Amino acid sequence: MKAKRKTRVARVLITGILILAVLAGLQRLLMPKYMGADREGSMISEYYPQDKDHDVIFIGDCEVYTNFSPAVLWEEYGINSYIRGSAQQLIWQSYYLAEETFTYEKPKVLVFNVLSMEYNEPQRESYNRMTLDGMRWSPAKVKSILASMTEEESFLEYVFPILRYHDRWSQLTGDDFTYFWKKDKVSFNGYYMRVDALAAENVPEGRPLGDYRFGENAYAYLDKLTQLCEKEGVELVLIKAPSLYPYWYEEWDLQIEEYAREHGLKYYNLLDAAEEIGLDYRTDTYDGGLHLNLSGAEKLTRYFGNILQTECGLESRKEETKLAEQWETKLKEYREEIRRQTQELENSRTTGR
Amino acid sequence: MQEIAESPGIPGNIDDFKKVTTQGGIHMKRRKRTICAAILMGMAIGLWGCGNAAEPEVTPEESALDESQASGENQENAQNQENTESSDAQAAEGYFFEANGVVIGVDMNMDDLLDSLGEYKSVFEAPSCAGEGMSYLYTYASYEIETYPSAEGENLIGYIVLKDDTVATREGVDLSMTREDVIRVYGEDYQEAPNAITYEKNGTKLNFILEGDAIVSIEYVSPVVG
Repeated sequence: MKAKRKTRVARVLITGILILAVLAGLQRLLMPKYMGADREGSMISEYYPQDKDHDVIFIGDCEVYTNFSPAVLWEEYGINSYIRGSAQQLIWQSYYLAEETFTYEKPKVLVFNVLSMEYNEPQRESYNRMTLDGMRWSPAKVKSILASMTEEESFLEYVFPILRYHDRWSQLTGDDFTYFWKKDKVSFNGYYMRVDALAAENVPEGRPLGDYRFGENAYAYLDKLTQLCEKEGVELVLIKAPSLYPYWYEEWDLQIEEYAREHGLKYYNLLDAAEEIGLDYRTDTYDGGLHLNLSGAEKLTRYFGNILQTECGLESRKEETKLAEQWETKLKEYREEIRRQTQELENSRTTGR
Repeated sequence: MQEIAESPGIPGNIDDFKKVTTQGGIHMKRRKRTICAAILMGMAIGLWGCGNAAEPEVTPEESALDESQASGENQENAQNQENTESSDAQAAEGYFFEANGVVIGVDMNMDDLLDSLGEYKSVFEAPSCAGEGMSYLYTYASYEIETYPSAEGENLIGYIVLKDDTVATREGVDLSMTREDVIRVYGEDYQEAPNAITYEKNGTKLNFILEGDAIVSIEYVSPVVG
């Protein structure tokens, strides 16, 4: 009887494990792979395998991951940095990413791009997913999901993404199978590289607003971020990246200046410093002024590296052999990607496509 | 008793009992298999149903291409008429702007209206992050229309902004008027912000942006973007 019961239990267990394995496999297959035009959706998860010993962590939206190059920060200043950026990263998502990051490491400086202060409420599920699906499970992820969900979303769909993505089965492409087990690396320490250029023309002025004040929720998370950094002994630096669009209002800038002054934080409006940085919006952006291309990002990073060195007191770590070796490998990949994209651009110019 | 024992499936003695329990086991196995098959079929049907419900994604560019391929003046006129009629039907439900005889509302597909609205002065293309489609800002002489990409890739209207007093709302308010005029026309049921008063109808916001008592801008805002 006992043997029979054991056999029965074993059968039930094996069947259960098989069903779970099939469901897990299906879930993996059906989830977006973010390897095409939406590859920014893969960036958040790329942080985890890194050696977590960074001097600087950037958090924020596309204005950080397209505009700063950690490779340049290392090469020219010996600063070891990483960008935990994602598409339309909202301030509560930045906050919880910072909270999660501090469980792994304590950087000297946390740089936060303030554009997301314009959003006071959850926006779009697709962008939420690009930040949240890539996070490892942790209390920070749970809180970030709860803070980010739109009315149409449910927490259970984040726990079991197959519930959300089951209808992708008819839209599966070769990528879903190619990247089933392993995805390509899409960033260089969180930097999204583009070497092509599209001049900024006819960039619209901002339309008048009925209320220029940032929302209470946005301020609440900025407060939390300030307190978290203070508690962890990390210097919080606020920046506004030099992207021309979406429009950054003077009224918004004054509020951030005031906040920084009241809380003893450094704030750099790099949009105002565009000329000093040497940015040329005819050649230094790949999409008409929204995001900087490689040329623009490298100029901006050189400028900002100097600030980190002189005003935040970060010192070069180039003498650290292990770190220097790691960066040598990363720089090789970085240069190889520049060469590949430049070649591709040349080819497309030659063929006219 | 005999009758019962002879009934199919009821054991009359121990051998019969063993035989029937074995058969019962077979039945149980069959039942389990049937249940498993039913679950799998259910899942397959579920996936099929979901798959059919999902619309293939169409980018605004593809949508515009389809539009341009639709030829013939009659076809175009018929489409314009259809747009106007459906817009009129919707007009009872929200706030709408009218230009060039065309009724324009938030969340309408801009690609359907482009031909009827005439030539714009400029268009600014703003690619959304991460391949999430393209937003466009169409600037006309006296107003601007900003679009956003829907999940299906449609080019939907997010904002309509009236920039000078050569255009007015359908209810007759323009930029030469004052806050009192707005309240006289639209009533007291509004929300107030430091520099604006806002009316809302079925999710569509109608904002009157003010400097003091003067109106500096009028905007229609979709609930999706506003």
